[in-house]
Amino acid sequence: MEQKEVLLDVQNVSVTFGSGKNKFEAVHHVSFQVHRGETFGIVGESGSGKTTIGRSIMRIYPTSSGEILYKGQKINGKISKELDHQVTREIQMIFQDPMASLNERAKVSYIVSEGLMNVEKLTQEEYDKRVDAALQEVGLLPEFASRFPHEFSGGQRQRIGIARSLIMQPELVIADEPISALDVSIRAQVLNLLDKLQKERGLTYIFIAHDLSVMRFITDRIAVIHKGKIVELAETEELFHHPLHPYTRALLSAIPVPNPIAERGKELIVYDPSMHHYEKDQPEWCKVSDDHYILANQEELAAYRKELESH
Amino acid sequence: MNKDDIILSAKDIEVQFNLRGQILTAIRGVSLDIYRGESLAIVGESGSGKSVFTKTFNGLLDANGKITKGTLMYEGRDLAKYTTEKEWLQIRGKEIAMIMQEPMTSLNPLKTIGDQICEAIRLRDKSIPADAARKEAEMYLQEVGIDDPARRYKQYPHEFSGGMRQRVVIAIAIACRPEILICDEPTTALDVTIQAQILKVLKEMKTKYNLTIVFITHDLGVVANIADRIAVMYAGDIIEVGTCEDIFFEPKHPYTWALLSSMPQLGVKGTDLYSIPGNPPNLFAEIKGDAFAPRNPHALQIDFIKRPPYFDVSPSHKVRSWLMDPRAPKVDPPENIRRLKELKAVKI
Repeated sequence: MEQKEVLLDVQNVSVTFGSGKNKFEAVHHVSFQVHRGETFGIVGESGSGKTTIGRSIMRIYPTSSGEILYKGQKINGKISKELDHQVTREIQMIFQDPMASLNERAKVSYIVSEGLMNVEKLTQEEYDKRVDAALQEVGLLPEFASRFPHEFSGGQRQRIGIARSLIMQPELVIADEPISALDVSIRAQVLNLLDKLQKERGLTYIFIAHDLSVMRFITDRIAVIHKGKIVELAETEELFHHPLHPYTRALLSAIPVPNPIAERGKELIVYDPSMHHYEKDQPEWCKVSDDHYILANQEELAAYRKELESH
Repeated sequence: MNKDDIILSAKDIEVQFNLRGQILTAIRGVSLDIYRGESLAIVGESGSGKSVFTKTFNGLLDANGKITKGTLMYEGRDLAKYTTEKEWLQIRGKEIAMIMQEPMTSLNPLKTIGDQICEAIRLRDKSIPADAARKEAEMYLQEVGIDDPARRYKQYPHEFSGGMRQRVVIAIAIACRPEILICDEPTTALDVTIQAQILKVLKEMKTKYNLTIVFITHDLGVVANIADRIAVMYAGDIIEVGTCEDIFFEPKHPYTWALLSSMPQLGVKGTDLYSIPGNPPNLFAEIKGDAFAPRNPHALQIDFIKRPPYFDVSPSHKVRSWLMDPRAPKVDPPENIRRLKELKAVKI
């Protein structure tokens, strides 16, 4: 395998909320790397901390330990103003709910250009030009710029959200459940759009979702996160063919399959964390095979390896 | 499921909304029989009228909407004729109950979970003593999978997670002991794992209380799990209805093909996912012919002129498409639909 350029390197990052008695560690010593041009998936239930990871990369939440390196530079904690500007510009986010993430009182032109105004001083005409270009790129008409968000359908609003991040000419886009609030048919359109933009602009995506069936279609690698810890990380097809961690298996078993016969005979696997015996032997982040990592203790690791070989 | 035992029969239902003087026809002559004890899924995009159609079953249409044509027979009564709240109160909850999409908004935040379930029990039986009602409510909580019901009984909705709230909503619906339970996208706002659990609870409740379930969703994956029969809706009309196997393995209507094809589960990585071209029709205007025709690559000339009747594919399977006419050219379903059929042979 060729060496890929590491765009984002998350090392041992923890995120804590509150202090003292109310302290809560939402993300617990998480490490992963995102390569340039790939789509990296983070999957987990609600409350697992997947959004928190995305937001701490965006510098919305401060990290309590560990380092986040973007193009080799540390971007968490205190950083210089120039770097802050660069990060704001190059890392963008697409949000889950297109109904809630757009300012109801602002026109589309303002919504889309707002980010740009903060980093670049241009004339109004130039702003308008850029907005038109961004809107066209996501498949909307330039005249939509003078309308308000409530005049659009869910799919169109999500496109506005995408245009808003594109106008900054980002390199890394964090998409936080961008399609869970959308209809099946609209979902396909938005997924295709994201795919097209990736091909044209060489974007790197971090795709956060709970739905593994969508993830399989778009991601190159997937990290499975449970209660703030990444439990398994592998290349997408590898993960679907040889899921090792019991939690990954539980998630996979919950995917609805468009096949009534398979669905009727389906056994739901329920993940029970008490099945692990971590009292003596602490789990570690280990490599099972090429590009397949798992959180396990020595005993489990041996069992997982054996299982992989038997395939 | 007994094929002769029809619990609810809709005949040629038309629903119109008056929006500032403009008439919008949301449901355009829908006929559907629902059999006792079955679970029927109604599938369609947003705006296809699936929610509006089921809302007519228990009189929950907005004030500006009404049934303008057709009959809705339930146990010898024609619900389409009902106009007053008093009449509807005999049906709503007690006979036909509904679970809404958002468990966050369908519970009263100011009342304890227990009170809200007891309210439903009282609706059925006014004379029930307080402690008996409480016992019963705790039993329902237990049944829908909420541990420690005695403690949970006294808690408020904000103390519950999304999945737990949806369980509470199911408990309230069950407490009314309805005949028909309408579930309007009950799992859309939930995680995949929680979704699977909720579907399981619904199936358990269905067997236990002999419910007839009408399940509204846009997610065909969910449907495969729960439905005996599927009705596909488009632009206020049911365009195909059949058993779960009929729809997944032998779909006939081009819209059903399109809907199935756009599932990411069927996508091939690196290629574009199928998306339906164009937009749904404007329901303010009169629709001529087959409503799907402008977006249908296989549309025939007659599709733009005359509305297709239902063609019987098998006794359980009906399709509203001119493609089924003996004179129509033979059109094969797209490649990935045929793949679905191969899945059947594999029998996982």
